[in-house]
Parts: sequence; C-alpha cells; structure tokens
Amino acid sequence: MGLEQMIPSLAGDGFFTTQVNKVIGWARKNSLWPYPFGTACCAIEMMATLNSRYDLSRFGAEVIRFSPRQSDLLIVSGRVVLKMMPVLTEIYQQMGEPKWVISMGACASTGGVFNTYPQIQGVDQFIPVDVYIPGCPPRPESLIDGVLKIQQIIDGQAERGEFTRPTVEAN
Amino acid sequence: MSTHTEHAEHGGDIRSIMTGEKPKNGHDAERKLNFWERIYLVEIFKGLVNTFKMMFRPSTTIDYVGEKSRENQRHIPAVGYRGEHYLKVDDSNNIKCVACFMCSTACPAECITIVGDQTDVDQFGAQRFKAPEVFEIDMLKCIYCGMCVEACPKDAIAMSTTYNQVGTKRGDFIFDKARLLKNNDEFMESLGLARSGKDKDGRYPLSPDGCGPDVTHGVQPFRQGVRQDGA
Repeated sequence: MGLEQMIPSLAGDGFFTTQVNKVIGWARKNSLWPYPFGTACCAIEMMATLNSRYDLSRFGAEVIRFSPRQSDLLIVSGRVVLKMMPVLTEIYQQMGEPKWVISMGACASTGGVFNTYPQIQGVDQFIPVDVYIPGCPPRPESLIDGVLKIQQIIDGQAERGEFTRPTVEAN
Repeated sequence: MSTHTEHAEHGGDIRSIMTGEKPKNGHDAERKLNFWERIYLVEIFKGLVNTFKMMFRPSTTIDYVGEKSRENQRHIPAVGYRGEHYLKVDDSNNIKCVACFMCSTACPAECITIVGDQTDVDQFGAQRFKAPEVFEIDMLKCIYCGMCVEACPKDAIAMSTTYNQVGTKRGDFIFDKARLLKNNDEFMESLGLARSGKDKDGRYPLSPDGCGPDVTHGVQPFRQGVRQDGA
C-alpha cells in the first residue's frame, strides 16, 4: 500500500528495505490523521478525548481532518443507518491508502440496542474495521487504547483484523 | 458616540432597537486606537504573559499510558462502576447462576446467550436445579446498563471495573463462561477477597445479601476511585 508500491525495491525482504519500512511505519504511526465520522453520543466522547484532559495529540493523532482525502484513520463513532451507510462507504473509498478504521462503541460495532431494520448491525459488514472499541459510549481512555492498538498494527506488533465480505453467490 | 446613535436610529444595532437603550461604550467600534494599540506589540506581549503563566501551572492532562503514569492521575473507577461482567461462584466453587434467563430477558441489547444444563448433586446431597452450560455475553453489543445485574434473582452476575478492552476481531469480544469466571477471580483478587467474594471476617461485602441497610450494597469500604486534584 502507498509508498511501498511506488518504490519497487521496497517489495523485497532485505535488510535495507526492512529498515526503511520501519522508518515509514514509525512516521505513520506517530502522525495519524483521524477523520471523525461522529453520528451520535460516541462523538462527544471523541471530542473529550481530543481535549486537554485526555490529549490525544500526545500520540500524534491530533490533527482532525474533515476531508477524507487528507486523513488516514476513520473513527466511526455512532449509529450508522441504512441511508448513511453509502455516505460512509464513499468516505472510506475516498481516503487514500494506507488507511485504518476504528469502530467505536456498541452501535457502530454491532448495532447495539438498535436491532431494527434501518440500523446497520455493525459497519464491518461494509467496510473493513481494524479495531473495535466496546462501550456505550466508551470512555476516552478506551479510545486512546484503540488508537494505541492502531499504532501497534502499523508497527507490526498486532495483527490486522480479517475482513471477509459476505459474497453473493451467482445462481 | 454620535455615529453610534445614528446607527441605532437607522436600525444598525439590533440590541438598541429591541431594548431602546443606547449602546454601551464597549460596542463603540469607532474609537480611535492610540499609538501603542496600533503597533499591537503591547497586546501581543500581554497575551504571551498569560501563555507563560499557564506553562508553570500543573498539567491537566492525565498520564494514561507510559512509564511516568501515576496512579492518582488515572481514572480508577470505584466499585459499582459498570464495566465488564463477571459470574459469581459460591463458597464451594459452584457457579451461582441457575440459568433462569432473567438477565437475557432484561437485556435491552439482547447480548446474553444462555443454554441451561442440569448439574450434579451439591455438598448437601441436593440436586441443584440448573446451571448454565453456555453463558456468553457479546461485549461489543452490550451497552453496560447493568439491567442484568438488577434482574438476577440469585446475585450471580455482577460488573467489574474493567472498561478498556479493545480488540481487532469481533469474535474476541464474545466472552464465554470461562472468561467470565476468570473476570470474577481477577476482580476478587484485586479487591483482596476470596474467590466467592468473602472477606476475612466471613462477610460478603459485594453481595446484596450481606449489606443490611447500607444502600451502597456494602461497597463503600472498597471505594477506590481517585480523582485528580482540581478535577
């Protein structure tokens, strides 16, 4: 993804390329630019995380970008309904590689209490989610933990979650 | 001032129209700035004095992670905080739950899955009626409302103070019976209680049975929530 594909020598496994990949990963994980997709009360906790008491900027995820083209971390915080899902999908597709997704809270992750027809029962049915944060809403500490988990994924310390899209079999 | 009253007469100032009062001096935009105000250096310096003052104040940021993280700066929730669930056991290490489905019925998110099972004979020779064969809570679907704890007639499920669990797979968050019992052991150990929740005096401070008139369900001595100074 991204820079690795542009430089052909980075595709290998040699000593030099590994070191370069390490440097790239270090730069990436310390300059996450989140896109806040806040649709409900989880967004309030997300704002609290950005405030001085919890201070997400210590971990480099300070610059909130409201343009998906400039951001590389999508924080889905809040309920996503059927009409909002195409918007979210488009936002995800507009983000440049590499990109990561945090599904924050019960509603974004599984639908939560809203087991109804317009409510998306988990955004991971449509977009790949890297880190899930339980809670209704999660505390700011949990979001910090989620961002740290994303940093571990970028660093290669944690594995990226698998995304299996439900395929429609042709008759 | 004369220009401002003209403005008010012409409907320029909405406040003076509504109240009929003359606008105060503070709203007078026509005031001439003197020399020091025009070069702005003094005003910038005044602002910087404020900034430098704030630099020497204690930081309001909590040290959540890192080596320098101090205990009194973090949020340590009190007992009674609704975090992850745990399943209680009685003195003979039997699971207290009788699989009555009250918690899964009361759950607004419908995140509890129970499959009942008959059990062996207990230490008095009596047949315990039921116990859960499967007890699963989807922690991602759970909204931590505590209704399962209130609904339980056997005081078998309760909530610990663990709240910061993140993961990369949805399946990681489906806590089975073994995990919920492990939560119980960890939580009781952190409080210095036995596995069944019994303290050294033989009382059960976390159980509603042994609390008497105490409306805090006996958790007051265990209150360990620490707030940061000035917060």
